[in-house]
Amino acid sequence: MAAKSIFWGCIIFLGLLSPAVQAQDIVLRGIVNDQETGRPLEVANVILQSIPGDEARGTTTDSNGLYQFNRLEEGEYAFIVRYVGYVTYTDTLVLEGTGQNIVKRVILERSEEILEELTVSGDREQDLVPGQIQIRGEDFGRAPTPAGSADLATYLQIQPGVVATGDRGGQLFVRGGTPSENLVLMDGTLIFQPFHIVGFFSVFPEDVISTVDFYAGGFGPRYSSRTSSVMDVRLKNGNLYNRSWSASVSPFVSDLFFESPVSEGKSSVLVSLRGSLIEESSKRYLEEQQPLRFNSQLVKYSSINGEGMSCSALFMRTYDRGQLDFEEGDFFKWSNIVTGGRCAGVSEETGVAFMDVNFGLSYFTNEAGGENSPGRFSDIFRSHLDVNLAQYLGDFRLDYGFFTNFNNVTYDISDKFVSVRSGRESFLGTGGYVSLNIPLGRTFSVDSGVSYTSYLRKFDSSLEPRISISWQPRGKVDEEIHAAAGIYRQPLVGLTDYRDAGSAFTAWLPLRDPDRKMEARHLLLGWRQPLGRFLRFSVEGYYKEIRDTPVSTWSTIAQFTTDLAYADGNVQGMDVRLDFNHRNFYWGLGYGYSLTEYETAQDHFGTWFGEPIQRYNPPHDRRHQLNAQAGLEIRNFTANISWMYGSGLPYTRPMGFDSYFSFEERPPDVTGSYGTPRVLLEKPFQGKMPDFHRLDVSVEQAFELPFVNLKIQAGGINTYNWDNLFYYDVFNQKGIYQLPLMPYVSLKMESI
Amino acid sequence: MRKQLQNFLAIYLFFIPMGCENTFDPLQENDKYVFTIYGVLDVHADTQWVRVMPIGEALIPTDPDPNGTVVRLARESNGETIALNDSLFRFGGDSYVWNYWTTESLQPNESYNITAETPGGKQSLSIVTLPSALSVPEVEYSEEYESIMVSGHTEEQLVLVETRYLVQAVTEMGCAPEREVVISHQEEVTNMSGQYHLSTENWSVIAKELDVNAFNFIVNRRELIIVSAGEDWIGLSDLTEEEIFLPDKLSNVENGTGVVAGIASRKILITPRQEPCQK
Repeated sequence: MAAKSIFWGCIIFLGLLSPAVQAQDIVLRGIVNDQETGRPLEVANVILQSIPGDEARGTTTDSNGLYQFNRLEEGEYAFIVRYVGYVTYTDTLVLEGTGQNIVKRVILERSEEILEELTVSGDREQDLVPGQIQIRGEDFGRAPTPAGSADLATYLQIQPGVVATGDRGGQLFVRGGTPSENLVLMDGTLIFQPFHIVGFFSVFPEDVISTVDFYAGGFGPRYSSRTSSVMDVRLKNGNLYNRSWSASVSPFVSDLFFESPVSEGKSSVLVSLRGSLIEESSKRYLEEQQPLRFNSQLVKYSSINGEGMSCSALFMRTYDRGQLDFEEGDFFKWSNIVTGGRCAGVSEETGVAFMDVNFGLSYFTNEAGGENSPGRFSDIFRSHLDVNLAQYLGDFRLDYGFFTNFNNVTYDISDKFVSVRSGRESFLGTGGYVSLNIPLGRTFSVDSGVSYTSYLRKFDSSLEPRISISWQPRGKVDEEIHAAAGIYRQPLVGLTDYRDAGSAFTAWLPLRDPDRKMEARHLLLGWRQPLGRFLRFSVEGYYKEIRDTPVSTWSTIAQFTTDLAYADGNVQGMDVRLDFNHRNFYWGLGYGYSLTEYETAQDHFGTWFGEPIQRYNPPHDRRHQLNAQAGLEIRNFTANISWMYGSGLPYTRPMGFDSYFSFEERPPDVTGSYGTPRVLLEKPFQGKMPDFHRLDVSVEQAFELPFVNLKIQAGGINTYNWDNLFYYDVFNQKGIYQLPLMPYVSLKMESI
Repeated sequence: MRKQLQNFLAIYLFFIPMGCENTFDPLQENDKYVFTIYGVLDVHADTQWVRVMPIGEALIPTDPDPNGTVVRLARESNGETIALNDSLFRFGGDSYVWNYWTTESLQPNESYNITAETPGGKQSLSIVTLPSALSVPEVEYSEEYESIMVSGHTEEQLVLVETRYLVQAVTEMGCAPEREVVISHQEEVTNMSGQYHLSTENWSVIAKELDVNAFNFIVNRRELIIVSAGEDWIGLSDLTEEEIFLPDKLSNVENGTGVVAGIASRKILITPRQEPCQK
């Protein structure tokens, strides 16, 4: 009750404050859009210069393309908008009257001349919040992908702090968090499993991505219900004026992309279809067939009106099926269905600078077991409605919003987790958030806020305060020291049996114990600094406390069922990046150090170890990670190289094996019975698998043909054919290995 | 441009030597356990059998090489030592075990050492104390209701009292295949000052096991098994399944895993084997 009162008190106070602050001034605001697609352009420079005179004020657009000038006086102004790769926009504005909100929408046209000079991206300065990495679709190509289109999944894996346990399974761990603790949003709608079973691919090929805001920690109060990371993916809008298409094929995957105006200049549609080919192609040119299959379909409709109000609707379906151990073991299948709509824009009528209304439905089902007889399954359905608002209170910026969501889970996991059988549960979550950005002078700013969620008595309500601080000592956005802290809670947990890495099944369900609440507390401190004109350096240290994360119980029994226990723990680490960009050549180095420790108490620990509580490093604790990329682009020729190194992951190392007789019912008859096979273990997760490393390379040549553009890419995954262990199956004493050397050629055709 | 291409190639060549030799030993070095030894030494048995296997590097061993293991049985009181004979047992597929045996008679209330030794001298040792002899109990039975009355005397604890029936269900279709039904009476036995007594009726349990009505079954053989053990008998009642599986929790083998227990057992044939019904 106290949490609720505090939250609503803040909302009412800020609501009362805003009209008083704004009443007497002229306010100029608007959205800067790309002319071809209507996509909002982030970090565009907007300058307002008084005429006559040389007094100039400047700002940059936010992630919604929004800019705003407050406290303007009547008069004539030169209005200039600049954005790299676009023709500079200039206009003269005459501002009259007081207490007015003036909306000025800006549409920027792309500049062919400038684009030709800009052969390497990364030149735009970004004002990032702590923990944030902003990724654009065109960045994906820096990690060689065995397909005609690069992919978000491959790019994420070269980020320090992101751990993929193997090249299949679709599981990404961010700074010690588990995959189910990652929040992945697609135009604001949640997608439960965005990564395909083949680890190079997600449901986000470069063709459909506008930007991805990736928060490895310390994210703000707008994002709730997850404790580890956020990937806020903004899809491209279809082209409003020109029809275009592309088609590609490689041994791994085939892609088809199409975009077209529906009503020229007003609305468009984008279609992306994707299907795997690895199952068929591996039969022909690999020693071992890879029984992995996936496909995805995406349709997005978007429209924009003259005032900059944009609306969109999307539908996505995905399907994955396969085995992680190709010879035996479980079949995994999963499918997402996501649909949603979003409207966003500015208005002259209200004091609210920007409003974004978002609704969506997400359905995820996954199962594991025999190919045609699943032993366990889990479905989750989620519907949501979010309203996000931005408002300026003088120099302060206030972001706030309200959300409600309905969740329904159905599961049967009795063959895996002994104490959690099967069931169906529903709950409603509703709440809001508020975040206030307070600039302190020209170089210092504080973002503080809080998120509040009520679950209508199903669980305790949750109040999650968060704060971030940034200091730009010389007023430059790329030169910054920042810090963030916050509390994050998660009502729905994804249970996966990580006793071995060979599982891609996740059961979504609420924590059964009402006294437990999965929680993480983040603290991070970072520094970004350009070193000369072409080199950029960043370092970020972090510390996370984890509470009540579900883990499997430890057992020495060669069985596949396990019970559920809970662990507390902490993660501490550091991510360092050094990037060089100069004309048509770039290279990047990333190093991640991470130490993840869990502490758990289980019933038989006293007997097993003599201590009731055990500390250990979970199987995704990759201590050291090093990534290096280099790329070259010369006219129509590009080459990329990526080397990844990861220190060995913990696994449970057996001392040996015997056959066991219980004496429970009667004295054993050793001549008539084999006994029960048993693994002799000391403590689980004390062993280390071999280090992982892999060198991928690709070269691409583009040809401009009379009717199409053709791109031919040749490359190799794991070019020095290193035996990378995916996981070690203790019970079957078998190493399951990742892909060997995998040469490939891909073709991509694009409309001119 | 040429310089950039050279840089790119140099970077590629720099990483190539990373692909050198890759070795991985998944097993932890084991200097804790040498052999696994399971079995019982029975005061009244004609042949003593124990399972002795080296701690394996595979969950199901498929290599039938005994690795030169020598298993000895020594009587502690006089040091008399004999080597046990080995026998290879196969259990389906390629899985095998080595059991060791002797027909040497063992003495009640004596302690015996079982030692398994590798050719390199590594040993596992189990010390077993045998209980006192178990006298043959008095048994009365009646075919009506399959009632059995047992009375006897022992100073030791009874660790097993069970009846075993070879039975066939009788239905309208004729006689079903023969089955063995084992009924434990551990909880029904009363024991006062060493005098134990059991009185029970088994017909309903047999009928339930065979899923037939009342007496629609025939009995081809009746047996009673009684086993006593000394004070060092392994108690399991307070342990969870996880604990029972822990190698160090239930073990009387030094430098190894397993349990060897001393028992005195009596198998009493109540009614001899009859030819099964073939109708």
